[in-house]
Amino acid sequence: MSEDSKTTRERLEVMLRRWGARAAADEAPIGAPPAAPTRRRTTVAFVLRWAPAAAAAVLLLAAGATFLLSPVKRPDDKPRSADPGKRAATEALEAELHAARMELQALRDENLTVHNRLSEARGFAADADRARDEVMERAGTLQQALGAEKTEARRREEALKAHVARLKRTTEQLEKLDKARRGELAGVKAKVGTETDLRRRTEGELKRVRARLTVAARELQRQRDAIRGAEDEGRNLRNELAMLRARYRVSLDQARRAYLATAAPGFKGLPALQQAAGRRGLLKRCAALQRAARTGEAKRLLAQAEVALTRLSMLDAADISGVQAFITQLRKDDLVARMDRLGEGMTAGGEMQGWLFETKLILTGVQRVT
Amino acid sequence: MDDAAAQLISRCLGGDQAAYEALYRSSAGRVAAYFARSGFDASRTDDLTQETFLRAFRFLGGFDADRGTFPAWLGTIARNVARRHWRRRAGADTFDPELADEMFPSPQRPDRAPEAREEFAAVGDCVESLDAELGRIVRLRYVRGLTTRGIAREAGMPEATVRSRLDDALKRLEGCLKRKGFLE
Repeated sequence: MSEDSKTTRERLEVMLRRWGARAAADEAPIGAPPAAPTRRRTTVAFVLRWAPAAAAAVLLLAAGATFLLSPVKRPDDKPRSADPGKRAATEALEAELHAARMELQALRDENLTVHNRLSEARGFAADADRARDEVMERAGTLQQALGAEKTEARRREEALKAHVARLKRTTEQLEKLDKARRGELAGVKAKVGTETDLRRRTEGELKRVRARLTVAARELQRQRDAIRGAEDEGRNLRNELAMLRARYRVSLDQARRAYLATAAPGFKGLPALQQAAGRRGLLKRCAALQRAARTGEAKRLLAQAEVALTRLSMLDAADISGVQAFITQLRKDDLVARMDRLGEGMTAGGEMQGWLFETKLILTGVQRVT
Repeated sequence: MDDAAAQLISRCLGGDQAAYEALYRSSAGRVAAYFARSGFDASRTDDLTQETFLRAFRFLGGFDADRGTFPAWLGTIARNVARRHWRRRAGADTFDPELADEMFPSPQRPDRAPEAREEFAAVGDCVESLDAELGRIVRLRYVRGLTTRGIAREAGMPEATVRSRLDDALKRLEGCLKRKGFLE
């Protein structure tokens, strides 16, 4: 805003303020004027106001009467006041009248002064009355407010007491509940503690069991692996044993054929076996070996072998059942296996071992014939 | 003091009831407006105006024309009366005390001069030429003597809006008074 426009705006503000004040004064509702101060027309004031005039009138009347009733006659009908004595009396009366007038005037002025002061004092008294009324009004208002405050305070005090009583009851109930809760809590804590210990122990045991189970499972797996390995090994061994047995049987058959080709040439089947046992003197050699035998087992084996060789020599090749019964008896006595076990501990090349081998070739040949 | 006022006061001091009434009629509006602008309600304004004139009439003999104008002397009484009842006024923050004091102009202000009357008429015409809302805001401010907050409450609008509208109104009034030759 420029300086000029600022000055213009300030001038406008002044004009508007003047106009506003004038308009406000013109538009303000005006009530009836208050009563103007009036002078009291009291009896005293009335007397004082008219007393000088009345006194003057009385004095004039008295002076007139004195003049008319006076025996002194004025010459040529001149007024009696020409009499020096009367004139002096009249002048004295006039002087007295003037003094009275002055005194009355002074009294009137004093009365007016008193009246003005009295009016002013009444004005002050009215102001004091209004102030007192106002104070009384305020005091009444304060009294009412104080009464209301007291009532409110009593109501609040009663409400506070009731509240305190409720708080006390509530506190007692809370204490009871707290006591019960604490007892219950202690029980629960103990129970929880026991259960916790039990659970901890159970968990420890469970861990240990799990560890043992893990170890056992590993051991089981290891055992399974071992068993599986053993089974594999056994299977291999069985296969190998079967192959050895097959090769042994083949070797035994080859040995028997060679033996029979030498001991019983031209014979086949059971007769070849009977012929070879006779030609090789197995029964005689068996008797000699029985005599030389030192152990009971060897003696029992040689006795059973002698019986078997004897029955072989008497077997008929056409008697199938007789041959079958001979074979069943050999298996029942387990004679060939016993001959193998007896021969295992002997020195190679001895008479006993040779006889055991030849007898074995003959007896196993019977089983092969069938 | 002008002769008319001096004669009225003289007649009052002589006990002339008609002079009292004439003196009251000549100044009561100004006194009533002062109380209204000071925040007193209509009823209390009437009471306080009566009280002011009662006191003025009672002590009229103490008025000394050499010490100031009659309106200024009346303003002193009115302010004393207002001060006694100050706590009973409404919304102190909605009335501008400076505008209330404008009701009793200083002797230097020539608001009774003929040119002042022409100025009043011109300002009144320009205010009348404003649209209704701007005119109302101007009257609330300069006639009723309300503050911006007081105008906002009276007109039911935000104070910022009041300031904006008042500024707009002043611009229009400035233009109007320039056209009429009262502002340069």
